[in-house]
Amino acid sequence: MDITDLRLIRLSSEVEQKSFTCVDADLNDFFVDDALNYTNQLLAVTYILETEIDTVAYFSLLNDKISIKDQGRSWRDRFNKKFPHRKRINNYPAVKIGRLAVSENYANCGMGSQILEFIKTLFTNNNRTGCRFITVDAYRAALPFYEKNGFKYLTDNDQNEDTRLMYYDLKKFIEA
Amino acid sequence: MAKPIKETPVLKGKDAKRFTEEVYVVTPESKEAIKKAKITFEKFQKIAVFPI
Repeated sequence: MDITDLRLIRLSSEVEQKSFTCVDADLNDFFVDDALNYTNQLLAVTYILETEIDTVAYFSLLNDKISIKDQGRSWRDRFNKKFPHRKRINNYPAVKIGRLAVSENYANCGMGSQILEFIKTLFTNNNRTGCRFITVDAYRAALPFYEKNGFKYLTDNDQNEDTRLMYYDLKKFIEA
Repeated sequence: MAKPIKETPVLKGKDAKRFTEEVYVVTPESKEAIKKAKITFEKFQKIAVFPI
């Protein structure tokens, strides 16, 4: 889909939200009931792609962190042997996609992948703070979409849940 | 009311080990994929009504 006829705006109290419907009721509810509240509480920023008459897609971003619990001395020794001279890090800065949704009128035309390309580039070019990963708590129906876009699963513990935590390593996105 | 945004848990055990190993063995995206994303990014910049 060619986005040149759209507008990209940041949600605020001054923005009049245009109609939005996608196949998932939770994503519709978040856009209508919660997105502005998250913005006003400084918890997330929602970006909207829209035409003159309707909302094409939206995505909400917030700061996140991936933390690893130290697994003990034997694990540290094994790590140091496998990756000599590499510093072990237990906390990584990340950006979380709180929600990402495309209107049913514009589904299956590559809009979601373009949004991910935008986010990946935004956080690897002239970024103001360090950010190593993108995280997302993905709806089950969206798992193939995120897999296709290079995301991996953070844990096996959520295999039977409605959503699964995934991550993308932004270091992959820096040209060698 | 939508579900709250789920927090990212602290990784432990098998998850922590797998994640740590994946982090230290990074397979870069192709130059074409990165170039394509930059073109998309520039399009978003042009349609944005706020500075990026």
